[in-house]
Amino acid sequence: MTDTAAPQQRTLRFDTLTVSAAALLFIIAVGVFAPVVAPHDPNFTNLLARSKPPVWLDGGSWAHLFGTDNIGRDLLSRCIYGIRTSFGIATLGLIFSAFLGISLGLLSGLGGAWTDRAVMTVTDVFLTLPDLLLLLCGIALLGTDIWVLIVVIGFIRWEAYARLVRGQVLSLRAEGYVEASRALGGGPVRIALFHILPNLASPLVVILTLSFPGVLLMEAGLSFLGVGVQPPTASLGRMIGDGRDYLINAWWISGMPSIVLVTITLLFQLIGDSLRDRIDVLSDD
Amino acid sequence: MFHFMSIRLTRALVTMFLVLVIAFVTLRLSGTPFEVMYPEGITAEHLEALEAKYGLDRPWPEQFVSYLGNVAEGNFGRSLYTSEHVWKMFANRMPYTIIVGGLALLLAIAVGIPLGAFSALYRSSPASRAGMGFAFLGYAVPHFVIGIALILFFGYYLRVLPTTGLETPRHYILPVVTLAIPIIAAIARFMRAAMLDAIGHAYVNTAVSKGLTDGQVARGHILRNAMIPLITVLGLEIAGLLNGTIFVEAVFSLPGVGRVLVDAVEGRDFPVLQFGLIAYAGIVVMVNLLIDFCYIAADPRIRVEA
Amino acid sequence: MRKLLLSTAMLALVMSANAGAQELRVGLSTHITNMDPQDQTGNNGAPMLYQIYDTLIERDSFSNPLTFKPGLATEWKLVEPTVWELKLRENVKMHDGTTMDADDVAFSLNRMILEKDPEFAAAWGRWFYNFEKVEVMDPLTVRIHTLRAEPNFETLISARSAGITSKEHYEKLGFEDAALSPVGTGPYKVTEFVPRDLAVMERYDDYWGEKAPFEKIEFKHVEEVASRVTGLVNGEFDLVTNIPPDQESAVQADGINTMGVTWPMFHVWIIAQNTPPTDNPLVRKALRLCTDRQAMVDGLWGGKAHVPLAHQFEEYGAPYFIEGLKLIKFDPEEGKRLLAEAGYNGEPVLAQFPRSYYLYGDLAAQVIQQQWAECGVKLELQEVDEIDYERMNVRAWSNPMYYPDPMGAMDTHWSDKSWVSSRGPLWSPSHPEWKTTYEEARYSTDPEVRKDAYRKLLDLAEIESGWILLYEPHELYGMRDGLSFEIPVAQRPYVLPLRAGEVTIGENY
Repeated sequence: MTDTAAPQQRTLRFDTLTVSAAALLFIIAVGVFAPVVAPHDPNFTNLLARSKPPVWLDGGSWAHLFGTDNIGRDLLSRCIYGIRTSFGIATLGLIFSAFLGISLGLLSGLGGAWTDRAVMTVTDVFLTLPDLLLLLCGIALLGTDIWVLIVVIGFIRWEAYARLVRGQVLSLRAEGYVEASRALGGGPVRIALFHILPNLASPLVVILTLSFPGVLLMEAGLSFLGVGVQPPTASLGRMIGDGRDYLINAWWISGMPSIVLVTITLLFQLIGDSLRDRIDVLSDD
Repeated sequence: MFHFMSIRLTRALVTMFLVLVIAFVTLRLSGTPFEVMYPEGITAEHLEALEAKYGLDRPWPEQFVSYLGNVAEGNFGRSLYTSEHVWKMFANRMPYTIIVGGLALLLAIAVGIPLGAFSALYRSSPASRAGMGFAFLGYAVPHFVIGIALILFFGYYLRVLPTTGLETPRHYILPVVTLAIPIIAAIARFMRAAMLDAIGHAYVNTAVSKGLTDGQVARGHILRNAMIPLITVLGLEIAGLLNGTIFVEAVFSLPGVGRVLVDAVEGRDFPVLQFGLIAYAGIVVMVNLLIDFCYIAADPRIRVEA
Repeated sequence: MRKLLLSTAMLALVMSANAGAQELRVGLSTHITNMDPQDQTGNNGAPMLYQIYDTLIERDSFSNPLTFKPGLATEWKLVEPTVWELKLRENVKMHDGTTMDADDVAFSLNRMILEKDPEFAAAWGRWFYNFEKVEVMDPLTVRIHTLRAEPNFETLISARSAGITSKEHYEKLGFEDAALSPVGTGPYKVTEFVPRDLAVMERYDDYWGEKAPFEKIEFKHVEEVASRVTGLVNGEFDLVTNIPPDQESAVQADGINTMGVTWPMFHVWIIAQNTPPTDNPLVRKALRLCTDRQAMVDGLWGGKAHVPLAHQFEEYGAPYFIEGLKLIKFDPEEGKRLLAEAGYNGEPVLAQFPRSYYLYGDLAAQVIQQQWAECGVKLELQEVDEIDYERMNVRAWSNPMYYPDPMGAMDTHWSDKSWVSSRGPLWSPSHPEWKTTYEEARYSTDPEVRKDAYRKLLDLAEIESGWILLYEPHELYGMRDGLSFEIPVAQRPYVLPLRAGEVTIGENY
C-alpha cells in the first residue's frame, strides 16, 4: 500500500482509517471479552438503585459509570454485553446474506439464461418489499429467536451481493475468461473460486462494512416493535427501544446505548468510506 | 423504447404475483390469527367455529385459489379484527402515508443535494464538516429515537409544534422532518462522493481550464453526471422510506397505513396484510418503472441497449 | 380511600355554568376494533362503551356497597326463582332514530345468550352463562330466564356487556358494518369511528336522562407514553390515560394535574398443572412463597401498587370484603423446604409471554426470575406470539374485578366456564371440597352463606391453586386543571365517568 499520488490527502485518509479501525477493534474486543470487562452482571436487577444517572451527573456514582436502567441494572455492563449481542447478530446475519447473495449471483451468472432470469426475478421481488415487512413476516413464520433474526436478516440483505457477483461474472464472460477457463477444462466451481471471487474481495468488504450499521439499526427497530432479541438478553437496539418511555426523566437509559450505537455506526461509515476511496484510487491506477 | 418498457412491465407483473404468493404462503404457514386475537385465550370449539367462519379450515392451496378468485373480482375481503373493508382501510389511510413520505422525500432532495455538493466543493470549511457530521449522525440514529427526541424537544419543552395526528399543516412538520433526516444523510453522502469523484475526472479539469466558474462546472458537468446514480439511490431510498413510515406513524400517532401493516403482521390479519403487501409492492414497482423512464430521459443510450 | 389518590392540584370544583360548549380530547394507550357492546369485553373498550350504551338496570357508579338505579328498565322483579320481569322505559330514542323496545333488548342479549356465536363467547363465559333466554312479553315488557336462581342478576345485567343496541340497525347493515357504526341509547352518540385509531362522540340531544356534560369527546389512540405525556403538556389533549407511576415527574407541569388509581385488578401468573415440574402442587405453592411482591411493588411501582394479601378487593363492599385477611405470604425458607419435599431438582420452569402485554410485565418477570433463583428455581423467560400450552409452565394474565362481588374476580377467571379451565388441566381444582364450596359461593341466595363459602375458597386456593397474584397495578390519569372526577368504583376498571353528574368541569377548564 504505497502512496503514489496526492500524498497529503492519502496520509489524511490513512489516519482516519487507522484511527477508526483501531477504535472499532477496541469496541469489538470489549464485546468479545464482555464477561471479563463488564463490571457487573448485566442482568442483575437492583430495585433500590433504579434509574441512577451516569457518573458525571448529579446523583451518579462510580459504581455505575453509565448509570442504571429502570430496574436498576448497570447500563455500562449492559452496553458491553449489548455490543456482543448486536455485533454477533449483525456479523452472522451479514455473513449469511453474503453467502446467499454470492451463491445466487454465481448461479445467475454461470447458469443458463433461464436460471439467470429466475434468480433476477426473485431478486426483484425481494427488492420490492420493504425490508421491515419481510422481517416481520419472517419472524411471524419462525418465531422470535436470535438465530431466526440472523437468518431473516441474511434473507433480506443478499440482493446487493447477488447483483455485484452477477455483474462481475458477466463482465468476465465478456472478456472471454470464462470460456477460456472452460475450454481448459475448468468447472463452474473452479471458475468461481479462481477467477471471480478474487476480483470481488475489495468491493465485497466495502459493501459489508457499509451495510453493517443498517443491520444494527434494523435490530433496534425490531425491538422497538417488540420483536427481536428476547429479554433479559441485552442488545443495543432492545435497550434503546425499552428506554424510550423514560426519555423525559431518565434519558440515559436509551441515551447511553444510543451513543454506543451511533459511535459504532460512525466508525463503520468512516472505515467503509475510506476503504471505498482507497479502492477507487487503486482501481483508477 | 416500447420494447424496453414492455419487458419492464411484464417483470413488474411477475413480481407482483410472486409477492402475492410469498405473502400468502408465509402467513398461512405461520399459524392462525386467533391466539393473537384473543390474548386471554379461546376454547377449542370457539377456535373451530372461527376457522370455519373465515375459511381457514380448508387446505391452503384451496384457500389460495379462492383468494385469487376474489382478488380477480376486486374483492379483497375484510379485516379479521375490525371487519372493515380492506380496500377502504387503505383508501382512507394511504393518502396520509404517501403525503408524509412524499414531502419527506422532497425535503430530503432539497436539502441533501445542496448539502452534499457544498461539502464536496468546500471540503475543508468547518460548515461543510459540520454538515457531513450531521449526515453521518442522521444515518446512525434510529427513526424512532429521532422522532421521540423531536417530540420531546418541540412538544414537551418548547411547546411550539403539535405532535400527534395530522389535522393541520403544522402537524406535518415533525413527522416529515423525522422521516427526511436519514434520507438527507444518504443523499448528501452520495452527492459528496459523486462530486468528489467527478472533480478528479479529466473533463472537469478541462472545463476549469476553459475558464468556467466553480458554479458552472458544478451545474453543467458534475451534477449531470451524478444524475443517473442519484436516481438509483433515490429508488432504493423509497423502499427505506416505507420502513421509516412505520416507525414515524407509531411515534406520532398518524392515521397512515404503516401501523395497520405492523398490526396486521403481529395479528396475522391475512386480508389486510395481503392487500398491504400488494399495495406497497405496487408503489415500489411503479416507482421503479418511473425510474426506468427517468433513466431513458437522462441517458438516451439505454434505448439502444434495450 | 386508598384507591383514590387525588393529586394536590385540585382547584375550585365549581360546576361550570356554560357546561354546554365543552369539549374533551382524550389520549388513550389502547383502542378498539369495533364497538359492539356484546362483542367487546376487554379493558380497552371500557372508557368508550360506557358513554354509548345503557343497560336495563344501572349501577350507582360511585356506590360501595353496590346500589342500583333504573336504566332502560324502570322496574324489575323476580316473578319465579329463575325468572325476572322487567318493565322498559317508554319513548327511548336510539341513536339511529328508532325507538327502543323489547325486541331490541331480546336481540341484543339473546344473540349472546342463545346462539353461543364465537363473537360473543367471551361475554357469555364471563358473565352470562347462567342466563337462559330473554322473552318478549309485550313491546315494553321482557322476562329474563336464568338456568339456576341468580343471586347476582342485577349486578350482571348492569354490566356494559349487557348494553342494548338497535335490532333494526343490525338487520339493516349486518353485524360487521353495524358494529363499526355503533347505535346505543346513551348520552353520547358516535359520529366518527376509525378502528384502533379514533372515536368521536357528540352529546346526544334526545337522550332520555340528564344531558351529557360534554358537547364533544374525542378518543384518540396514542401508543407511546412519551407522546401521550407530550400531547397533554402541549395542550393537544385534555386527559390522557395509562401513565406509569415512574413517569409522574414528567407530568408535573403548569396547568396539569394527575390522579393516581390502584385498580381492583391483579396481575397474575397462571401456573400450569399439566406440565412438569409445576404439576406438583407443592412446587406451585413453593413458587408462590418464593415471590417477593413487596419488593416488586417498591421497585417497579415506586410503592404505589398494592400487595395482594388474599384474592379479594375492597370494592366488593359489605358484607363480602373481609378486613385484615392475610393469606398470601413471602417465605422463601418454607418455599425451599417445599421444593425439597417435592423432589424438585432445578428443572427449568418455562414462562411464556405475549409481548409487552402488561405494564411492567416483562420487568416483573425478570425480577421474579432473580427471586426464584434464590430459592433454587430456574425460570426461563420467552416472549412468544403463540403460547405453547403443551410446554409452558407459566403465563401472565390480568384478573380484574369485572363487577363488585367476589364472583366478579373469581368466577370470571377461575370458574369451570372460564378460559383457564377450558384449556383442560391448566387449572382444574382437585380438592374434594372445592366444587361444593364454589357452588355455594356462586349460587347461594343468602349473602352470609356466600361470604363464608368464599372465605373458605380462599383457603383452598392457597393450598393448590394454579395462580400467583403479583400485585394490584397503579397508574395515573393526567388531565388539564379544571377537570376532575372520582374513580367509579361500582363499574369495571378503566371506565371513564363522563356522564351527567359524574365529572366536574371547573371554570378554568
